[in-house]
Amino acid sequence: MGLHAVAQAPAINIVEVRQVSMAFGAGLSRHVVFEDISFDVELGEFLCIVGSSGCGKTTLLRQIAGLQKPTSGSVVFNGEPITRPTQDKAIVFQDYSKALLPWRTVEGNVALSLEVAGASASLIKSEVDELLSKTGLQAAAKKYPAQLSGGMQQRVQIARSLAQRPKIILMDEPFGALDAITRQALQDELQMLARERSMTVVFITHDLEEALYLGDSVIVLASNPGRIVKQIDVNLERPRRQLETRENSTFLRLRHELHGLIGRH
Amino acid sequence: MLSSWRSIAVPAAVLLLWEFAAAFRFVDLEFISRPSHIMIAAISGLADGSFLYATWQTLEACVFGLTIALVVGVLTGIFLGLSPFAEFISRPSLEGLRSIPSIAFAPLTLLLFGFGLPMEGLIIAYACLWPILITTIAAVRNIEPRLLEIAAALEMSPATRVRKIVIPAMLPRVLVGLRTAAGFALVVSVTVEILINPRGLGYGLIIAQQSLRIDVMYAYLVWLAVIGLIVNALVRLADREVVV
Amino acid sequence: MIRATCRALAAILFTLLVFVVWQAAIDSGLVNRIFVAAPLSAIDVIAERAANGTLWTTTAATAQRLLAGWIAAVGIAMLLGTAVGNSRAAHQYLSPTLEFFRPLPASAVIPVAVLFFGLTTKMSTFVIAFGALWPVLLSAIHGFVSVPRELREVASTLEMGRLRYIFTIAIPSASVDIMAGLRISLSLALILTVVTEMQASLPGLGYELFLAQRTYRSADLYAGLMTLGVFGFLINQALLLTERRLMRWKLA
Repeated sequence: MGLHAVAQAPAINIVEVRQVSMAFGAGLSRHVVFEDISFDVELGEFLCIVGSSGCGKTTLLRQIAGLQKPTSGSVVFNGEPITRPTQDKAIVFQDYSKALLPWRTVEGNVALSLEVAGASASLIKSEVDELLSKTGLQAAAKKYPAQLSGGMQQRVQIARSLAQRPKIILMDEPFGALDAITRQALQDELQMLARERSMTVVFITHDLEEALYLGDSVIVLASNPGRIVKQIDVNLERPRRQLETRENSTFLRLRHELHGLIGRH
Repeated sequence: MLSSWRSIAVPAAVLLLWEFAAAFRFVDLEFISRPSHIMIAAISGLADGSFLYATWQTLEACVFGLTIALVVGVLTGIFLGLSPFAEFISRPSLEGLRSIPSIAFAPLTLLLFGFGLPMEGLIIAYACLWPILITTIAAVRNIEPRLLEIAAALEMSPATRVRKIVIPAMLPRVLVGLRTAAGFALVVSVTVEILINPRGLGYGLIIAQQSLRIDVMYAYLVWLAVIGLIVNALVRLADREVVV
Repeated sequence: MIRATCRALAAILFTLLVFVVWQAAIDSGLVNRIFVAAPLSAIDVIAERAANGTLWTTTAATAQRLLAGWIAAVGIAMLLGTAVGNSRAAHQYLSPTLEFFRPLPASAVIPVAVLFFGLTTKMSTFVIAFGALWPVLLSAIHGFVSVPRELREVASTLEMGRLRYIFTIAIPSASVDIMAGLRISLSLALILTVVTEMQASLPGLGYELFLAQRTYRSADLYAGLMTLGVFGFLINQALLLTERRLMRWKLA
């Protein structure tokens, strides 16, 4: 009875995107990146947005982060319209080499958000230690980003965003620049972290399989102009596994269904 | 469009204020001239040829010095670049020499050659030698080995190899050194002229100050800035044309 | 290990060889003693000056003026550079004008300084400071403007205040450019120190060279050049070592 009641409880939307559009220029030279995009992100949901280049998915993410303003429409976060970037919306960039502080060690980078928040030295130390062990970075704690591989650097970015204690984590094709093996390892680490901490994640990718593998739901964006073509729920068991899940019949069916949508547009 | 308005907004405002302040004697005209007077002095200096003659003298010295620096620098640089041993053993002497500011040689060249073009040209040559030498050594060291392998595979003669592979491969870096050197040349020549050598723009500048023709002095200063910009732009243009 | 020692020895030997050949050229009368002094005579002069103390006082006089001017330049340049580099408005309004002054030879300001201050130490300090601040200013602005967009966005996401951003992110990010600017400005400061000393007959290493030329003492002249060379080398090394300590992360 209790379980049933919980299942019936209404989902809380942490982000509400309403008829958002983005365009540059005016008149003849007006270029519409995307228009009339609406969707919700539920608390605790792992939402993947997938589309080919030019559909504006990065721009959309940056609008949710508060780094850009839409030309029209609104984005609401936690019931309030977004006006600027804040601590509770963490963002993980694709280009990790530019997003980390090269003059600080791994520890120093992860500690950054805690320092800004004014935490005490002992609190910083314990939090950083915990995050480093959660992301497999203890051994590299005293190294500088330039000494680490791409996958390790991306883990540092993830650890740093977790240190912010954000309400939502926005990830812009974070594994795009990594080799396939590292990518798969990070996918699994990410999904484990997301489960453990009941994280809300918006994950951008151009890789349909990655989107289906990681997401609770997937939004497919078309380009020229960008718009939502399809939004589906991914009802696959968790934890997902690289081999079994990718061979699962539901997975394959969804893959078929969505593949055509991306290719066509 | 907006950015170009913004870039001249501040200097334009400053010039206007300055003109106004000088016209109404808010500033001491013995030290600061009116911008309009400066412009008049500059125009008359250009019209009567004195500015252009001084510019010619300064540039003459620069070219003299740069040419010597280029020849000595490239030849020595190629030699030292090809022989790491030679470069290593000569390093203490070269580093020591390099640490002496070129202007310190002014008394010496004055002693040796007296006033005039050679003493100034040699100081410029000394100052410009170092960027050219260093970049030439680097250029020789960094010739892509694969290119040399191709030359061997095509059985090129040494002369052809130098002409078709070595020189084009070295050119970009050496040009960077030349660009730095050209900047040095102008600074050093003007410095020597201000200090002791009675020729060129620097001399015009200091004489104007000493004879209390303040507007002429500032006019020379503005003209120098313009010359500096032109030389800079020409070098950058040459860089693009030759390399690309 | 042995190879390294052999090479070091060869370098020392070669340097000594240069001196030997130089000395021989003078002794044999091949080169006129009036124009080119013998290295031994020059070293004699240096030893004499070291003994009677003038070497140290002269060097100290030059060093003092150099450092006063250079530190003033760096201070002003950093303040101005931080303000202009971190404010888009200031950058748009001021940078083009500042860039206009970049190709102007620093020494061109000497006559203006003489006009205002006469042939005094103040003139010298002003010229050194004015000349040496441009490389640092322009490279600092460039460094601040080049902070990667991602880092700036991380800072705004973490809701960093402007001052905190400047010290935690902007300055370290710009430090590579700033260091390059410092190196150039230090060499420039040395040149301007020597020039203004000669111009205004201020006591120091530069002025000594002028005196030597006027009195036709070539041994003094060469001694002065050697001293200046060593002095210049030492201050550049000092900066290099400081740079290495501060920028350890770059070498990692």
